[in-house]
Amino acid sequence: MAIVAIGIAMTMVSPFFFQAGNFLNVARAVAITGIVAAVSTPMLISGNVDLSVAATMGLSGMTAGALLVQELPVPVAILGALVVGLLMGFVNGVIVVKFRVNSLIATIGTAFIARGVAFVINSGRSVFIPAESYVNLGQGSALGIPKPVFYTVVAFAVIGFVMRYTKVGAHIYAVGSSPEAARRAGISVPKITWGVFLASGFFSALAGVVLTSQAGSAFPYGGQGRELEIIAAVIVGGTALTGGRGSITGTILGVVLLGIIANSLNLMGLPAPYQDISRGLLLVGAVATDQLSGRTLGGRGVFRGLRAGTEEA
Amino acid sequence: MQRFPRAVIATFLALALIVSACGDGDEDDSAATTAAPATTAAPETTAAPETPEEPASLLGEVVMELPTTIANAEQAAAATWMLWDEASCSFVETDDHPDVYQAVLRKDGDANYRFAWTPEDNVFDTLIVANESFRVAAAASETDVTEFDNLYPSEEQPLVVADLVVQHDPDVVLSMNVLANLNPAIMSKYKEACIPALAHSVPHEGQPFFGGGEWYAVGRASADYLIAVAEDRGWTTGDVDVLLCSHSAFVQDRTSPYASIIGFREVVKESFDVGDDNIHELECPSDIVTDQANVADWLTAHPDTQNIMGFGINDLRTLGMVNALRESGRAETSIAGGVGLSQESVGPLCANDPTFLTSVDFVPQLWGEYGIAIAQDIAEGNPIPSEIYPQATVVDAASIDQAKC
Repeated sequence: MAIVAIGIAMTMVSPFFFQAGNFLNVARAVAITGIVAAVSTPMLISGNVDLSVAATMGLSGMTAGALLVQELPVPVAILGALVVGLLMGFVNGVIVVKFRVNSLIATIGTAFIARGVAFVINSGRSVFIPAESYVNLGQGSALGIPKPVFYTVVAFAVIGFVMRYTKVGAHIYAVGSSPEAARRAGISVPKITWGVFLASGFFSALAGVVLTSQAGSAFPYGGQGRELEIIAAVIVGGTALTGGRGSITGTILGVVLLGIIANSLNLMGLPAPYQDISRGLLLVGAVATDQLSGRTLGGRGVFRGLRAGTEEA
Repeated sequence: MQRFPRAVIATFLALALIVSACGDGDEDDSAATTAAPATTAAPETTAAPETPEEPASLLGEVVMELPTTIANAEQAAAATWMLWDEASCSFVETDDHPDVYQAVLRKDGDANYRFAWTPEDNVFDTLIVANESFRVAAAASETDVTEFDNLYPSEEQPLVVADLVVQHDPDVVLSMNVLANLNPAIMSKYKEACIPALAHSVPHEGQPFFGGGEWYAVGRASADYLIAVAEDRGWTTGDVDVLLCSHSAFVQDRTSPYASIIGFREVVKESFDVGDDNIHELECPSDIVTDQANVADWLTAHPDTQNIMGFGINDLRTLGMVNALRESGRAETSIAGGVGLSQESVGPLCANDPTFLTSVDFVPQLWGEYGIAIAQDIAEGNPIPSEIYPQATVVDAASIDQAKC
C-alpha cells in the first residue's frame, strides 16, 4: 500500500516517475542492496544477524579486482571473490557456532578484519578494472534490462524457493522461532546456522562482484555503510529482528520501497538534508500506515514481529 | 568462557601481536623501498630562499627544493608572513621576509627535530598517498616524524590525538583535522603546551595554513579545460547543462575541497555564460553506486538536456557520474573532469575515455616533502606565509605520465 501511495503521489508530482526508464533506474539502484537483503532475510529469520555483509562486499570486490589486474581470466576472478565470500561465511559460522559468540558481535569483529584485509590487498588503494567483459557484467543490459537486476532476481528466486519449498527453509524458521524446540525436533541448529552464514558470505561476495563490475573499479571501502540500508529493507519487509518470522516477498517490497523513496526524492530535486528528513519520515510513515491498516509489506508486521519476539522472550 | 581456557585467549593475543608486528615491518620496508622515486621525481630547481639574516641552522644538506608555494596568486601581494615566537608561544606577524617563499626539504643533520603529523585518516586514497609521502620524506631527510591517525569521521579521536601529540612533545605538529568545529579545542591544547602547529587543510586563526590543495584554483582549472573542449566541439552556452557532483557533508566555503565546486561554477558562469538554471549540484555521497544512481535519476528528470559538462569533487564521484552518463546513452554528448589523479581517473585517462577527460593533480604525493620542509622552517624560526598551497596541474590523456598507466 505504501509503495502504491508513493507511486501515485510521485506520478502526480513528477512526469518522469511513471516511465519504464525510471523503473529501470530504480531496479539498477537497488540491485546490490537486493542481493544482500535477499540472503539477510533467512539470516534474520534464523535469529542471527550478519553485519559483515558490506565488508565482505568490499573484500570480495577487491579480490576480484586484484586477480583481474594480474590478468587472470574473468571466471577465475569471480570464483576467487566467491570463495572469499564463502570463507567469510565459514569463519562467521565457526565463531557463532563453535565459539558461541553472539552473531552481532562476531560479525562486527569479522567486518573489521575483512575491511582491513581489503585495504591490505592494494595498500588501501582502489583498483581500476581493465577487463571489459567483467565490467559488462555490471554495466551492460540484456533485453533492455540492466544485468544486475537479473542477478538480484535470481538471488531472490533461489532464496525464496529454499525458504518456501524446502525442508531447509522450514528448519530456518524453526531455529529462529526457538532453537531449543528445533533441537528437540531433531533439527541440527549448528548446521542451519552455519548454512545461513555460508549463504550470507556467498551472496555478499556476489554483490561485491556486481558492485565492482557496475563501478568499473574495486574499492577497499566498497559497500561501506550499506548494512543498515540492507537490514532496514528486510525489517521494513516484515521480518522480525527476533527471528522466526519474515518472508522474501516482504523483503522484495522493502527493497523496492526504499528504492522508490530515494528515486522520488532525486526526481523532485530535493536538497540533500531535506532528502534525509523526507526519507526518514516516509519510511516510518509507510510502515506505520501499513501496520495501522492491518497489513504489512510482507504479511508480517514489524511491530507484530517485535512484539511477538518480546512475548516469546 | 568456561569452554575456552586461558590458553586459547593467550593464543589469540599472541596471534594479534604477531600480526601487528608483521604490519610494522611491512611499513618500514615500503618506506625504504619507495624513498627513491620521490627524490628522483624532484621538480625543477630554483634558487634557495632568501631568508633575511638566517640564524645558524643545524639542519643538513638540501634534499629537495619544492615548487614555489606562496599564498595563491590573488593573495600573493597581500600575503601575511609569520614566524614562531617561543616567548609568547604563538605565531607573530613579521615584515622581515623574502619576496617569495620556497619550501626546501633539508636533512635533519644535527638539529634532531621531532615532528608530528596527524592525518585525517589512513584509508582515503589521497591520504594513503600523502601519508606515504610523509614516510618517504622523513626517510630522505632523516627526520623523526610520528604519525597519529585522526580516524575521520571520528569526532573524539582528533582530541585524543591532540593529547597524544602534547604528550609526545614534538617541535612542530602538522595538524590535519578536517572537522573545523574541533580545531579551536585542538589548537588550544597545542598552544597551552607551547607546540607550534601548522594547520593543514582547514585553516585556524592565528596559525599558518597549508591548504592540501588550492581547491578553488583546482575547480577553476578544470572548468577552463572543459570549456576549451566544449568550444572545440562547437557547443554553445544555450545547449550546455553543468552537473556538479558534491556532498553536503563538506563545509561550503573556500577553505574546504568544496571550493573546487565554487571555482568551477564561477568559471562556467563567467567564461561560458552558463546561467544558474543550467548549473545543477547533485548529492554524491561517494558511494559510487549511489552517486551513479543519483545522477541517473537526474538524467531521467531532464531528458531534454543536449550537452553535459560534469565535474566531481573527486575522481570517484566523477567516475560514478560518467558511469551514469554511459548507462543513459549520453556519454558521447558529455564531458567530465575529476580531482585527485587517483586510480578512478588514471584508468579512464590512460584508456583515452571520450567522456572522463581530465583530473586535477593537487600533488598529495608531495605533501610530506612540503610539510616537513615547512615544519623545519617553523622550527628554525624562519618566516613563512600565513597561507601556503602546493601547485595543482590539470592532467589529461595526452599529458598523463604513461608510467601510471
